[in-house]
Amino acid sequence: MVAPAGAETRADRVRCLNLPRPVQVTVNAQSGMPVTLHERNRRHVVESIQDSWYVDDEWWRDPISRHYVQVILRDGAIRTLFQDRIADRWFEQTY
Amino acid sequence: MSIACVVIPHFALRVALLDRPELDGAPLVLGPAQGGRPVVTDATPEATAHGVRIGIGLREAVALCPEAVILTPHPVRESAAAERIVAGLETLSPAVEVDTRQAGCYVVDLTGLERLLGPPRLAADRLLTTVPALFRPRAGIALNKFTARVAAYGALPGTVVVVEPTAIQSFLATAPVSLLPLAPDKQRRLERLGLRTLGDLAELSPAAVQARFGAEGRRAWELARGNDREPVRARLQPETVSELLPLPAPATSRETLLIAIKRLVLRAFDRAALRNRHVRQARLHASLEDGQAWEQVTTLRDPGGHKHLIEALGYRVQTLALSGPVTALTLELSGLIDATSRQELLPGFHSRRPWQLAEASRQLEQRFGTSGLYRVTEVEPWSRLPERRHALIAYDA
Repeated sequence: MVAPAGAETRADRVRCLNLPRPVQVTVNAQSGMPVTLHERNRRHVVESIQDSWYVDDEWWRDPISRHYVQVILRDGAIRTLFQDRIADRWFEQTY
Repeated sequence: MSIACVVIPHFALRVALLDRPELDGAPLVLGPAQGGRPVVTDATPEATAHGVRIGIGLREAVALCPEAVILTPHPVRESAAAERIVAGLETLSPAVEVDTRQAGCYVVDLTGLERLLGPPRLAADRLLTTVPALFRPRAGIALNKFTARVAAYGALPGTVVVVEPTAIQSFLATAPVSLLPLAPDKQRRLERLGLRTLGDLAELSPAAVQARFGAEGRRAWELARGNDREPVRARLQPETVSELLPLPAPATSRETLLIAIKRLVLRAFDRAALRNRHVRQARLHASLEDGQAWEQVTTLRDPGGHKHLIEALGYRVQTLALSGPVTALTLELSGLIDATSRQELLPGFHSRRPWQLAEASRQLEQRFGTSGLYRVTEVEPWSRLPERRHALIAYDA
């Protein structure tokens, strides 16, 4: 079904997908990279860092500065975390 | 060193030369397919030397190079020529991969064939002899597919470039980034960033490349460093049934074409290979009186028998606009399955028709104030922030 052209989409009927989920992370004091991920009373040890990259955007309005880290946990799961470098908080988000 | 790549630059133009070999060496320009915008879709180096570029209008091309010969694509002959080339290469190696992104590019796995074909350079020479010289084929040999491809594009017509395993990185460093299997917009972004050679890209950190270009960029970085572990994927040999019907007189009316198509389909379904079987896809070629050709592929939503196929092809013919009378029709049927093997869904698992879903949405909204049904829609698919790329919107919005 295609909505008729010109039909308005109400903002209250739109839901964002893949929103960042706050997580608790312990980081290595020297490198700043995550070493453990705390989730639902469980502690996951980060086995290795697979990749990391920065996303800096929208500096002209509300600046966004994120440090994404793709980690491999000890149980083999691959997770993508990022540090909000402005609020200094960690989130999980599929990239 | 076990992978060879054979390339034929300007493949469509080379195929057009098969009919007019006397034009070899002249500035050639490929026009659009039937019904397309009149722009240049390919040009030989002889034409580009005069300033002709892909994408400019044909009038501009003629103004830039008055002696240019404009040729039109011939998809039927191109696919027939490609088929002959692959069949020729397959006489020497069982694993021949056809590059679907670039016409006229074939990758051949030579692993284990040394005793049969000789050392790599000799093997590549033998591969080149299977391709007519008019195509000006060239070959590259390396440890992996990508390096072999780059080597082939760097070779002169009729020659072979062999890249030793120890020299892969230095060889790739000077090659242009346009040889990377990247979407055109990403190619342009690389060039805007001043990255013109594979060496420029390979020097960057992988994280930086991935942050800007995503997974595709990461793969390009690996390729630029000579890391390509992709195996050669031999093409599948699909079971097909082909029927050719030369028309007694060139046909222009839809009614005549419909009758011809019906005869073709019935004749194909008379063949033993199609007894009690259904087809998924039909490729209809029409050869036109003026030497041009037209081709259309029809994929059936559900595999069907001859009645279903005649009906589907009939719909296509109703909207057809051909540029000349048809002299022959060829029908190629593929995706053959047993007529009795269709798996029905369990009751209750049938996909709803859109109007049923819309009606259900309306009923839910009437009762609960909101239907609770959403669909995924693209918002900013290019965004670097994952949460901006897609959203759920109310089904009936």
